[in-house]
Amino acid sequence: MRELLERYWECKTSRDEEQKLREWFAGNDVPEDLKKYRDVFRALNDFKELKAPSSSLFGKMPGHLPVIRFYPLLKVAASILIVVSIGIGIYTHYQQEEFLKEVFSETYSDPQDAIKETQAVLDKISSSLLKAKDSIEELKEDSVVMKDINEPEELIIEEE
Amino acid sequence: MRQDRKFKDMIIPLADKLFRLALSITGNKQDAEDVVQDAMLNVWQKRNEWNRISNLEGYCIRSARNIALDKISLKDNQLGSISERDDFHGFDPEKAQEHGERLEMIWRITGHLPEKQRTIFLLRDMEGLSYKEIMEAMNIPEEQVKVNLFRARQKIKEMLEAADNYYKD
Repeated sequence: MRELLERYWECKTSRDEEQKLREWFAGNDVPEDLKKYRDVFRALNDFKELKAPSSSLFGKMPGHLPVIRFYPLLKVAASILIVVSIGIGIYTHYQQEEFLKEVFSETYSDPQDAIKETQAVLDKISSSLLKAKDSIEELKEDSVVMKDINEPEELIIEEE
Repeated sequence: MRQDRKFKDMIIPLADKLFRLALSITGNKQDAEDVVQDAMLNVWQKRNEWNRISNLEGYCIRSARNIALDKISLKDNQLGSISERDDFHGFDPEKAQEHGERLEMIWRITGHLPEKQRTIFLLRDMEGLSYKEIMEAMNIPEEQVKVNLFRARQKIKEMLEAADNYYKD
């Protein structure tokens, strides 16, 4: 060990040998005349026990940067989006079913009643169509009369 | 490997090492914590360049050292020893006491060394780094690493022998 220690001071030792020295000086077999060097190895061993306080790691640490913190939020948002989409899908489908049911459902138990009702509706439509036809006829007649009134004037202008 | 995974697996475990290095430079626990945070943040912000960095650990150490040196406004390594600077504001004996005897002890042994020698000595003899790793972490030639380590060990040896003689007398 003495020889190893001498080589240590001269920087001629390997890392393994230096580790051996530190371990040896940490023990109780150090001769009296070498105890004066013991403090340095003990101080190195002790200092190496120091750890970074966790507070130094979890302040601005990248492990806590938004890019990483964002993932759980993204998962929650995606889950909500999926649930809402499925809800809207189900609701829309249900509404469509209701609409179709309403349109195509049978409202009359007696076919005669249904025929009567249909007849009444058709009559109503028919009378409305006739009324519209009469109005169109009237308009046509009016336009013929207007033409007759206007034509002589045009002739007069041509003669001039 | 994803970068956040790489950061968790490779960079976060360096926190203790960076903390000890920062503590040995600033001599103050709070400053050392700030240095670790800033160094880690700095490394994370450079994550797009990790592929071009050959030694990430060395890069982290270099970053932490520079931040620590900036913190105590000691750009010049030669001014880094306590003995040469009466106003060495990084070392706070009260804080050292709070943090136990360990800091006080290491300061008693290495405090008289210039910062460069002290850091090289601690990287080698405490953290067990190879000359090549220290060279990359300090950004200096390997020869300079050896010279500085040799001087540091010699000064420590002389100091211990002088102290022993003093108590004997």
